[in-house]
Amino acid sequence: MTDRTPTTIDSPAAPLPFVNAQQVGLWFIHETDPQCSAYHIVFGAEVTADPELGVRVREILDDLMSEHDALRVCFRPGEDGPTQWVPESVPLDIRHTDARGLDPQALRDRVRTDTRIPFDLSRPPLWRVHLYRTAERTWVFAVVMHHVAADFWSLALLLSEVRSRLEGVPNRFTLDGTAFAAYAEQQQRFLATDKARALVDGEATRLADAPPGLDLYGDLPRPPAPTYDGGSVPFALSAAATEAVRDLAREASATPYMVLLSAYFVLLSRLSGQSDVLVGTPTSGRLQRQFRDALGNFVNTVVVRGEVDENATYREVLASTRARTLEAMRAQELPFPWLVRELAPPRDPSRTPLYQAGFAWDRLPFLTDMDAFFLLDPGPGARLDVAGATLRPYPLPQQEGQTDLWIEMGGERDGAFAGVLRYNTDIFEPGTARELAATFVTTVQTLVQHPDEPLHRLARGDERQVAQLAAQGSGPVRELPPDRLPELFREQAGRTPEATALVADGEEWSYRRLLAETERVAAALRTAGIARGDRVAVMAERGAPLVAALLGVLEADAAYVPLDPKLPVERLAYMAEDSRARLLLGERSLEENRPAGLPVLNLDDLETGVIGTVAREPGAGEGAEPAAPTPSDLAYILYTSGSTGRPKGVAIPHRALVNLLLSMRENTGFSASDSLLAVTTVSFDIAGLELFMPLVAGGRVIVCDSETAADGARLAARIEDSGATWMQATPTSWRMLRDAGWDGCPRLNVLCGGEELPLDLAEFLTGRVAALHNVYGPTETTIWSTEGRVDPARGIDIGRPLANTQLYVLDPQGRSVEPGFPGELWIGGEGLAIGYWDRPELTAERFVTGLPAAPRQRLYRTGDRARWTSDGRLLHHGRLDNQVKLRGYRIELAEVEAVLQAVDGVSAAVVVVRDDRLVGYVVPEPGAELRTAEIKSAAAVSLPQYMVPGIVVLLDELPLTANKKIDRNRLPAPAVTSDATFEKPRDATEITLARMWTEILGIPEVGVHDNFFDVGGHSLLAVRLSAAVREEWGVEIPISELLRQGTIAELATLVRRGGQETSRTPVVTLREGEPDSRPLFLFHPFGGTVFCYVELTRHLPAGRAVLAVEAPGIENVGEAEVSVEGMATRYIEYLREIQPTGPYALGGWCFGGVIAYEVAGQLRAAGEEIELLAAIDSRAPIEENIPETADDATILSWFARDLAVPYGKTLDIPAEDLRALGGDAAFDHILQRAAALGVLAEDADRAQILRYFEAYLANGIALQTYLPEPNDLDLLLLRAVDEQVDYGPKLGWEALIKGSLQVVDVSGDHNSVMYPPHAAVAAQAIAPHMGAHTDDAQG
Amino acid sequence: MNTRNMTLDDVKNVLTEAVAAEAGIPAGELATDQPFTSYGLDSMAALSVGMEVEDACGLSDLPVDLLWDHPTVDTLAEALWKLMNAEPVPAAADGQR
Repeated sequence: MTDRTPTTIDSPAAPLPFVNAQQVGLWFIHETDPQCSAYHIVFGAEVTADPELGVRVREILDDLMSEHDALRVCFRPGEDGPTQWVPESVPLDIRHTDARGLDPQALRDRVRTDTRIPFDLSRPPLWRVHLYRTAERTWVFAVVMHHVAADFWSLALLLSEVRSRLEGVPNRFTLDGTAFAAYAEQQQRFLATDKARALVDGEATRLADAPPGLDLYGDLPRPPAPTYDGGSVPFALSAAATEAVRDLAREASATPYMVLLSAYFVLLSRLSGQSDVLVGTPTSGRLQRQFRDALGNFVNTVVVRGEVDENATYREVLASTRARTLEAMRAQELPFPWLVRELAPPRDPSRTPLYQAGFAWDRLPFLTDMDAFFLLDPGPGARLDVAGATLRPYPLPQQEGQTDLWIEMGGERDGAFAGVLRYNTDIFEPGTARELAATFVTTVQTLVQHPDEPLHRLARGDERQVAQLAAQGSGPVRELPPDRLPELFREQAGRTPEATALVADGEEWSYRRLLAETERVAAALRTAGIARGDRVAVMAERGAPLVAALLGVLEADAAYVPLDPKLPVERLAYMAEDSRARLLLGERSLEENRPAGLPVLNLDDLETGVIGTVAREPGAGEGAEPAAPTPSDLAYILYTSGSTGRPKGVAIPHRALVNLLLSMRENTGFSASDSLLAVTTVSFDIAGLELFMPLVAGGRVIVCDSETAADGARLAARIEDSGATWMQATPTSWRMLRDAGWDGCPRLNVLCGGEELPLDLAEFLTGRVAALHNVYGPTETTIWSTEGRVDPARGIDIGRPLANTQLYVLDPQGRSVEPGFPGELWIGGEGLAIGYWDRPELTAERFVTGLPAAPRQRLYRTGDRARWTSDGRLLHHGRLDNQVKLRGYRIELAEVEAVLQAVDGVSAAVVVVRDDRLVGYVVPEPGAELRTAEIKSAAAVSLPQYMVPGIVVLLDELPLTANKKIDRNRLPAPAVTSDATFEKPRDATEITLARMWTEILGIPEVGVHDNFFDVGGHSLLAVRLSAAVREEWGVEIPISELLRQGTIAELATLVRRGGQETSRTPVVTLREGEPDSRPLFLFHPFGGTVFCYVELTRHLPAGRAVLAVEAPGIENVGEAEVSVEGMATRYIEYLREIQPTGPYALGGWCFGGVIAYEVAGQLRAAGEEIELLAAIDSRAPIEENIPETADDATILSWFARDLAVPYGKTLDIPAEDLRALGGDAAFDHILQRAAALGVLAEDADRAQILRYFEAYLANGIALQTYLPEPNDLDLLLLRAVDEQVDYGPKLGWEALIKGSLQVVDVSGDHNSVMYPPHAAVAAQAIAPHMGAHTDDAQG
Repeated sequence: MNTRNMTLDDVKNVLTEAVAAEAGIPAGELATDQPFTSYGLDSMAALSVGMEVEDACGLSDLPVDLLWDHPTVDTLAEALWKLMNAEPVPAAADGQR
């Protein structure tokens, strides 16, 4: 909560009539984040002088402070934003520090920290001086000014003035400390002119359809609200590049600014993948002579809309930038914050509006001998002598984090352009920012050297970057043996014949046995006519014979096509047919599911030989001896599902398989003493690692059957009793183990791959297992291409390339992208497949030779997005085709999934887009009770609004593919029941908030889950809303909180937590009225709440306030009234507080009408006049109408039903169910069901339900005991004609009303009469009796 | 508006002096038919030239894009001359939206 204590301004002050719009904008930012120091303008220098000089400077500053209003301004909150005040006298703020003991770095840190101490904008002065004595005659000083009151130009004017007064020479200008007020006034006038209007229209056209955000790829997920924290990186162009920039500018009739801005557009386009790029650029705002020497903040930002086409030349981009800059500059008199309001672009509170990257050209037309003092990296030697003192630059980073990225140039060092890149640390790590700065410099240099070549033909990156990328992207070079897997295995078997090679089904096979079985299979295959290059389908249960079969096929110089018997027979038949398998190696027990038409050799009956005839391969010469097998021969064909179309076979050569096995053996250190628990289906290529790597290391393969592998608890037990030291599985499988209660295994080394590794899973595994390795690689590059140990503290990367493997992150033109930039991952090296089986076109498309980054190398295009970090780690950013755009925002689904997964109680989460909405599928951890609303609000804490799934669906489990990856295509369609577009308010707090919103936003209605900024809210309106909340409840809601908790439901929770609303009277303002008009009072119906009147109120004639009286017991326990008379007496007290005397307008629906009758009677007895008494389908309180008594459970069941009625929803809980539950459990049950339906607020608890029920019961008792006398009153009775239960044409009121009784039939039944569409009819019936006249006697 | 007795040549001279000062060359070396940008002028320099013009020619509230629409001493002098004599000044074609 912010400190709202009003500032004491000692001297009298009056507000200035105007505040300029740029200042208003900055003031709002400060309101949003009072700790923000991103708008501090800072100047630092080191001075060597006599101490007397300091005294003199102080006197001068004192004089300047009293001479110039602009130095004394402050801002206070007004109704529609800030007001500006100038107190008569304001003391200087000079802060002394003796820094003689501090080392230089500590001093630098100290100064940096001090210059960031935030200002309170209501306490002048909004500038200060920090002074650090570092030696007897040496000081460091820093001047800090808040941008709301001063710009950089003002700071320079001030420096210049102090300097000339010190030197005793007249300044070349007269400092003006009052013109800022004239500027604000002039701006106000200007904005009302037709010219301004025309400019706005022009801007609307110019910025139409611009992307809603610049989606720069960064290191960190964007937080829901910007923090304005940042860093700076200085950079400089070479002298040659600077000259080239100037030349190019001359040739194009442009300025150096435009040349450099063009390069910046190129950089941003490459960093975002967008070609349409908005950049904010400040203008001095001092267009007129009279403001040239004025103190104040005149700077205004314009937005330049750049376009980058990689096919264009730099000169063409420059021409376009020039035209676009001029267009933007023509509208520079429109203040940016005002323009934002006028254009109302789609707002995302996580970003600055309209632009997220800035480019400034800052050069002062005076004080030119101090240029070096304004550079962040001024170089050595710069000094200046002033009045006997010596000044040296003491550069201080400043104004960081205003936007995602910001480049400031304009200064020069040694004849070369120098600048600073500022970045927001929400998004970028310092190392990445350094790469970005280096890349900007390189980009400028490359472009100005080749202005007439298309951009896409120019190289990216500098020498250092290129060398770094090549080093990081290359795995170790290792010579491969000439052997194939069968030879390697044979050699191993020769070394360790008696060692155990396989454990399966309780059976152990030694290497000798496995070799013998392999040879038996190979021999049988040869006998059957299988020769080199033939494909053999292998279909066997997981077990030792399966391994012998695969090895046997290879031993026979053929290639295997693995068929998992668990797959559908159609798919198996397709694979067998597409691969043109000549034979199927099967098992007798698997006959049923076998693809038809293939000759079969049964592993468990090799002696019988082939059943069927092995067709001769066409063209195979009779009796010709086939050539000797080579490592380039086909080893296996593995089928992968394309996202569309038929599965495709990937043809893997022996060399690739051997490279993988040896490289992974090396990386894992897998040895003869290790054993690996193999759980993966053979139809997934990674099974090859599990079944073969141990066999080339002398270790053991423990084959796990598929039933155990699919059952978390059984698998956990298997890991435990198998003694395995390694296991490889997908994240989904590891998660399954975790959910089954597995708590790790200290001896187990984990290989995790096949899907993105979620951080929370990595955190779970680390520390619970011996080591966690992340592995990555497509089938097309043979099982894995990268491997690395995971340290969750550093985040998840995909490791380093395997041996003889090269990785490239390329742009769409095939150039390597600089570190930090996004690109597509391409893989080259020994792991590459031969291609797709029988699909030459597809092969040519995905396996490409001749890309600029590697002209002679064949590379496989992965379709995955990746990024190198500045410290050489490779990050995986999901599938390129998995990137979605919603409402113009790029959304990384994986990022949303990571956040959902991190929510307490969530085991797994998948996010997809359905019907232009984000849908999150969430699997709770076993035993966790999750509510979708809670998941959403938890996600909103760390995600920008547009990334929070609109719908969250809870699932018991996620659908999986056969390879144990999540199958996104089989997620169920979300039920759209509870996430209907419009949700009504559910309690008094929400009703009141909804009313405030509709008033502030000027919209007819609003749902409790609508986000304030989605339905037209902006910062100014947010301030109003915050003020309204403060007024109503005395609860302080900072605007920053509004950005995060932007829905009525969330705000209501905050208000309730604020805890002060309980003291207010239970009268809810449904609608404000005109001043001096009498309100219409409506009384709560049965149950005590009043939201039933929201719809009615919307249709009642405007002008008169509509107030509803809620039962006090709803909010405060123990306050329920049990007699209608008691209620009336109490409610009249509330009424009289608002309207002390009659005539009164009273009404109510159902029981509310009965209360109104009693209230009217008591008021009449007190001598008051009754203007209107209206009852909406209220049954008269007479003997015949008394409801039957019922037992508690029945009443509880009615109570539940009536909770849902106002929302048009049904909540039928049979009384017997509630009776069986009994007590608290019954209430909890109702609470849960009601919350699930959305008819209770998200934070509703049992205490609230109990209060509601108490009020409900009390109403029931009151109604049963209320049998009033007839009274001389007039009554307007609305009768719901569709009501089934018949209480007579006048509902019994003829027995009580002695005055006129007017009955109007309205549509609807007893309940629906208050809801759309019938509420409008009821309102129409009442309207003629409300004659919206004002009452002079009032007020 | 025209409070002084300036001729078109006077205006041209004022401009030549101001632009040459920003370009850092002697006024005599400035070609009045060359665009300001060929002398490396940037927006800050344009601001300074604009202020000289305001001072010397007694004009105020100059259009923000004046120097871009009239990018040489010769063309700008004529545009200013018209302004000083209260004649309408057309914007350059590429300035139209």
